[in-house]
Amino acid sequence: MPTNIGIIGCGNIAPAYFNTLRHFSEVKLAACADMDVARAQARAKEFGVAKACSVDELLADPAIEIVINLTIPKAHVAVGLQIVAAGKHPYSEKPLGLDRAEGKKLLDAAKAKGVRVGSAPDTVLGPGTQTCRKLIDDGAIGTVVGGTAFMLCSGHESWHPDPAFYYQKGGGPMFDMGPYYLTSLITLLGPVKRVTGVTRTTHAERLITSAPKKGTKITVDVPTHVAGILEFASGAIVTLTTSFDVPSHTMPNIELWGTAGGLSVPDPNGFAGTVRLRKREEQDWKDVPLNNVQPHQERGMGVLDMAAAIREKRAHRASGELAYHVLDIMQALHESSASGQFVTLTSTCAKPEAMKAGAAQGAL
Amino acid sequence: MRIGIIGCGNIAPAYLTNLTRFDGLTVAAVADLDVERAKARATEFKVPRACTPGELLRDDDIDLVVNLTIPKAHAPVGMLAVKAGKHVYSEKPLGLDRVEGKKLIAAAKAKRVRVGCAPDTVLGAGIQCARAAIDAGSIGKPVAATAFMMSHGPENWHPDPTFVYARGGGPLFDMGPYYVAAFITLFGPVKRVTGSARITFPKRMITSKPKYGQMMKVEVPTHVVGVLEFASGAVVNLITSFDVWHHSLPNIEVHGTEGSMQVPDPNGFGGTVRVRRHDEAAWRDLPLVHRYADNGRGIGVADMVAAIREKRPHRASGEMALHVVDVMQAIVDASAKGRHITPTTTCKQPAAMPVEGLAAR
Repeated sequence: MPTNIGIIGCGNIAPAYFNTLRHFSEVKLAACADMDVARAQARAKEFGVAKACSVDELLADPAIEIVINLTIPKAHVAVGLQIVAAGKHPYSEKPLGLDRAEGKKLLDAAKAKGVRVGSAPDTVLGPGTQTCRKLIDDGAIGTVVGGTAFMLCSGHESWHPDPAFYYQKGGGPMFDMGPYYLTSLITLLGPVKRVTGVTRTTHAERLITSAPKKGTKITVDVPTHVAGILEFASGAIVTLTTSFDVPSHTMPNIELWGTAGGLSVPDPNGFAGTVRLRKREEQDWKDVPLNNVQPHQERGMGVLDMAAAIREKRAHRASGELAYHVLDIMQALHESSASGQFVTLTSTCAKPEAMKAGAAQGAL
Repeated sequence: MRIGIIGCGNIAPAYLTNLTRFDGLTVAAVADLDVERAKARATEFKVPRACTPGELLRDDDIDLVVNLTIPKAHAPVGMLAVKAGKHVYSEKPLGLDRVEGKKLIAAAKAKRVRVGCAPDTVLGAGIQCARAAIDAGSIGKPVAATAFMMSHGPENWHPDPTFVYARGGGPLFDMGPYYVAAFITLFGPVKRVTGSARITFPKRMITSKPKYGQMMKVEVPTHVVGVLEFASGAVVNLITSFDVWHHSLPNIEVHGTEGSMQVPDPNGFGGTVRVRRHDEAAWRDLPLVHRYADNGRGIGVADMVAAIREKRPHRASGEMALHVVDVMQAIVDASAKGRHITPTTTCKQPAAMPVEGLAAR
């Protein structure tokens, strides 16, 4: 019996989920909804989904068990609470919420109702990050001592059709892209204990150069350069720097340094990528072939894992608990810069189980 | 001006070779606790007098002392030079901590003598090329930078590495001054500091000869991660470590509003400066046009001598070196105290070097 899934929010990221999930018989895309029902109908037609409807109709459908929430970030928790109230498990795009307070509200409500919370990113379940996880677990670089992570770009106003939200509350480079990096690092190293951060709003205004709003000025309300130091419970110290103010650079995505060698981890905003390893005694960095490359390793893997986990009565990997810890870290980095104090995190999470080599997508 | 050098160890030959090339100064005496070592250097470099440190300090003909003693003697010997009414130029660091450094600067001010301090690598062609290019706007306004000085420590080649892991050592105090001084040269002073520091291995084994197998007790952090906020607005990630086997990061990369720049190793005088503006597909190497692309330790002394004569500030100044020590100590303090540290010291960004360098013989 497949798990029935509904999607709320049929915008830009929805096709990725539709395209992945329709290949797996363990789940059934039973319905899709949007505030704009015509948009839902168009997607339903495009991807062969039986039912397109309003949000209320989807939530009232007793057959649907998991609801994928692809609304805009500031609606994630509000819609998530509706899903929980309907007795269904929400799986949300990142971030879990705009801040800790609303993220906690969602987790508490789900716990009280006895439903699970899942959250993107699930890119870290792909072979790129998972090959690195296995190397670390197998001791290839020993104990990880330190590392760096960089997401540096010049912002999105040169290509996104409506980029103002990136520069408003809940935006900025850390809230936008930080979840990918933090989720990857937590998947590899476990939870974070304490953080210190430096933030800066480099330009008070930004100019949109994309269509159709070319020439419009955006007032910047959030920091656009965030440099953080993460002290992991394991002892590792990793710097994470995210920026909308750096048009070009040569920094690697993620590099980890251990007692037995170094590891170059691929871009966490993807499922595959290049893994490079250099053990202590080796003269050169070597490319490592990815483990467990399978078709359809794309957005939606986290939902498949959640469906399987519910069936198998185990923890799911792309969990609300992990996403909350990520949100806590991101907020703490901003607070640290403003207050001039380090922040010892009150949240934690378990390091998610590694993906099993050779397992098909549905049976994780 | 008549120079006396105290400390005839490993770094002295570089100074002795270079100082003879500059106008307006002469090395009149060399001294060491081991007078035989001083005599050997005097013969090798044709210095008229070899003596004890005490004798050098009492010599009224010496105007400026170059202090090449070990780090923990830098401030004490500096204080003696100042008390004797002499200018002093010290190897880095200025002192083991900001307290020693502040005392020395204050004593020199009261005595109306100058304090100078290494590194002067930042006056070399490499860093000065980067400085000139930034000043000319080649990458716009610097927004951020990264710097990585990471190795697995010197214990596999240095014959006697214990001091490297003792107070005043560690990757931050040993190599950090080159990086912090380079950034001050490029951006100006530091406004606020945060960091995380760790002693990764409480004991380490010497794997060089002749002390192979001996264990060293580690007294200082060996993996130090700092974030420095400059008064100019730039935010710099600086990692110094003796716990890293392999990495693939550039020494120093500066990110500006209009492009990026790769800056050479600040522990040298030459190297390659690369620039890529945002609309360019490839990096360009900038030609080094300034003087002093080879090992020029001593340029800082020569600049100080010229500055005294010309009644202008000298570049490798005690104020800057104190700010460097203050900033480095702040990284470790921030980690220990769990809060960002605002340094109580500051300094002026040193003047850029003229392309033609200082007057030579």
